[in-house]
Amino acid sequence: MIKTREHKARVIGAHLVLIVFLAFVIYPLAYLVSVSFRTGHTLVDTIIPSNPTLEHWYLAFEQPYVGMNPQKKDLDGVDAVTFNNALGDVTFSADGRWTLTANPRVEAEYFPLRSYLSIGFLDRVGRVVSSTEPVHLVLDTADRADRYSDDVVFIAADGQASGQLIIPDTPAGAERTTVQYGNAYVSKPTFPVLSWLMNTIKVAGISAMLILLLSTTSAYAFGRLPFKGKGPMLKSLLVIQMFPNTLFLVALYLLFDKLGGFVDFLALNTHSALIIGYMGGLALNIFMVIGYFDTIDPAMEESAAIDGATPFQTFYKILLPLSVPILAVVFILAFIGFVNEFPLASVIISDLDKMTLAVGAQQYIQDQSQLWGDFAAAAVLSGVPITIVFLIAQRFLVGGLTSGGVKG
Amino acid sequence: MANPNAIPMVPQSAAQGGWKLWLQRGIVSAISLFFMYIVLVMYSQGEPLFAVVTLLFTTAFAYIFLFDRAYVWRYVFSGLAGMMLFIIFPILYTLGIGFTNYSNLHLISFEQAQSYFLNQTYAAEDGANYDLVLYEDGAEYRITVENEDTGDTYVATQSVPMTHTEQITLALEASGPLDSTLANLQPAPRNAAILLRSELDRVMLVLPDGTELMKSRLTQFSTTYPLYELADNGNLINQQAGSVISPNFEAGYFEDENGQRLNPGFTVNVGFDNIKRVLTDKGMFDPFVQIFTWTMLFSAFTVVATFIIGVTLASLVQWEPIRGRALYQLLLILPYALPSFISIMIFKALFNQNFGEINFILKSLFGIAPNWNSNPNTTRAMILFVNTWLGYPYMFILCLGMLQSIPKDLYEASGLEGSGMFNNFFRITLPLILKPLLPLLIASFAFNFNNFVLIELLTKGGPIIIGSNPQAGETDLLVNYAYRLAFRGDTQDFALASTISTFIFMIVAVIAFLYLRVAKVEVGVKKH
Repeated sequence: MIKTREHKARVIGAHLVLIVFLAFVIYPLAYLVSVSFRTGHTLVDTIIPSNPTLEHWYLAFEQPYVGMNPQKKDLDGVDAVTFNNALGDVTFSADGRWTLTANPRVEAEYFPLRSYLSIGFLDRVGRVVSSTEPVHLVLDTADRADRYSDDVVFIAADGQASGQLIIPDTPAGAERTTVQYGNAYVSKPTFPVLSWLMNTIKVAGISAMLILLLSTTSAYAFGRLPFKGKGPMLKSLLVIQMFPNTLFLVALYLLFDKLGGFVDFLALNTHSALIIGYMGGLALNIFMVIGYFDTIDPAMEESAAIDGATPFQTFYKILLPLSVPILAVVFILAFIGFVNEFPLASVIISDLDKMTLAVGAQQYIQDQSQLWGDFAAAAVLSGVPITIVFLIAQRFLVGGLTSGGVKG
Repeated sequence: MANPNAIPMVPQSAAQGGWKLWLQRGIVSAISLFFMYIVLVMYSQGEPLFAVVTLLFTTAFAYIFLFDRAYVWRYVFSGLAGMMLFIIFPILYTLGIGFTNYSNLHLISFEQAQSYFLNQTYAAEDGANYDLVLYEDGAEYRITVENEDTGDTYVATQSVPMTHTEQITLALEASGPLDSTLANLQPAPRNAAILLRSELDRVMLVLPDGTELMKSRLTQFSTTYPLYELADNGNLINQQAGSVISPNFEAGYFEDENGQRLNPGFTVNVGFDNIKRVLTDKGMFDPFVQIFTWTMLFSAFTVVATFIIGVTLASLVQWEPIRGRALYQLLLILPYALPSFISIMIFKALFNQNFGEINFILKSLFGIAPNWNSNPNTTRAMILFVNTWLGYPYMFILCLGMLQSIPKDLYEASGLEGSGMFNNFFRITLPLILKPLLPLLIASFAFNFNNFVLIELLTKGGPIIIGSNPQAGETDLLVNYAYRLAFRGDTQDFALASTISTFIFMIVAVIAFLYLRVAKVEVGVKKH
């Protein structure tokens, strides 16, 4: 190595290029994770959520989430304010005394409900200048009273509580005195994310198994057995696989509409119809398997045949065990392809709980309501396992994608 | 057809002995019988085309799995059948629809439209009205009617479950006011007539004298007569008004004497009208050409951009002095590993006009906030950016494999001659990988040409091209345009969509031809 300095510079340069590029790759993913932890469905926040919450994750796992929203009431110039913080009706006097009469707005199954009370001073534009230490309130059924320590005010579901906050002197710069409180609420899961995940795994798994079965048997016939019309048929397969099913969605829809009238499992809005419809995407996989079979020496199969093995036995007992790597590649690629498949699934499936993830995830983002937070949590939940499977398998894929199918 | 890999095939070796053979025959026969039953159902429901196709499949299936002569085909039958049914048949069907006027205004066949009109009824002025009283008979219902004028009561001869979806006919028999059959039945609740209104609509009652009654109000049946009667020349004569409506097989409508069209229309063959419309109608031709150009540019740009990025990254990651290459490789594949329906939505959020991070950064750096939704050019730029992000890992993986197969001594030799990095790349690397990659680049072009999901999820084709009729989107690819015609908008013009699909078929066929030329399909030859 003569030009060590220049060489070093080049290495550092290459690292820099890769790292800058990776920033572009990773930022959107980090952004997705960030959105899933943000309060509400906001897109405007720092990458580390300023006010993190697990609400979207509770909903993604189909669990109800009990949270609270910060609210405030002005105290200036009034004797008392009354409000309902979902635990009950609160009367807050200007001198700091308050009473709460329990009147929970939600059913007992969502207890405990939490809230707080504190005094906040705001400046002219409404920013908080300072606020007092909050008093925490919790409402639960009476028999669970001993679970809570003394630093929270316990309120039974039909009880009452009262207390007094000390109102400090107005600090410099503050113009408004407010009572700050938490308004408890329960958000319930809107979409069956876990069923979507199960549907996706079921449809993609069965479809990929069937694709594997059909493509290996077909590839065996095309690669090893002699029959008439093989060459033209292979060429037509190659042409066929360039026509994606998006081009004839209308026809497929009408086809399943008709077939469903005769056979139940081919009716629209069933997973079986979707799986059967996916079998059209077979051609490319056949080529991948043929490409791999071609690299296996047929001598072993010939000797098995001479020993009296039937063609099926040579296929099943000799060729298949030798082809495990390509079988893995075909299965994984097909599986991921079906998980990602959107057009056919969106046309065939219409029931909310029968949807696959690709279709279901779009339900979050409609023109009128864009639930980015819920979407992000559901997307991370469903995307992470698929991504991990893919990354584990990528070692095979690098070889499989290039050796599969066609040779230049 | 000499195949060096072929196993000497002895059909007899496939034959099995004894009970296995009979088991095989039994299973194949059972499946065939099941399919024959479906053929019968299809035929009886008036779908001869489906019946014939299924019959052919069943015959082929039975032959292939019963006779050893067709042994080889057992391996390919299911695959081929699946592709026939779910690719070739839909393609042909699509081509066929393109020559009709099939849309939501012309959904049904002529016979169905005719029988729709023939099933229309009207209550004659001189007809009698009958009040409906429903009785509950367990889970079923018994219909009784009472003549408004004479007070005569009639009872249906049988109870029905009222779950029918097609028209049923019930015979009535005369009965006294306190008939014995009704004595042990409960009158149905008052809201039954409302709950069962659509089922009652499909009930025809026949009086003992043969007069037919149909529901005329919520709880009233009346003597009805068919509104239309079929004349010998195929026209329909309106019995109430005396007018005549006639089918127009050019337009696919029944029309009255003034040429006024009556819904529902029916499907007719319109020949090349759709193709003519696409090529001559200004509201369609201009958008079509624009969309076609954009589709070509989009695919070409994507292939070139992803290839350049892919090959650059692959060269960097391949370079031995770089440490942590495995980690780089893993992270660089991430966009390919993440399901695209997620990553596209992430970019939709990032490119959000008011709240997106990208406009936030652009605004703080350059003071601009491009409109990613309504300006066609910036929207296209966004699409190209997103698709490059999504697509480069595929090229990266391909190039990585190709680069590994280039012998290292080529670089050593050129290094000794004093060749530089760029010289090496353009003189050795690129020529060596471009040739084997060409078919895959063409395949990538074809894929992006039909990249429906990206556009559908990112922009839905918007913004709308001004002056397009029916509506077309500035960022629609051809395949999205076809989808828009078929499933969006108020017309649901399946025929026009199929015509666009036909154009896409032709273009894809050209691409496929190019692909076949460069790919040189060889099967059954060992790689060395």
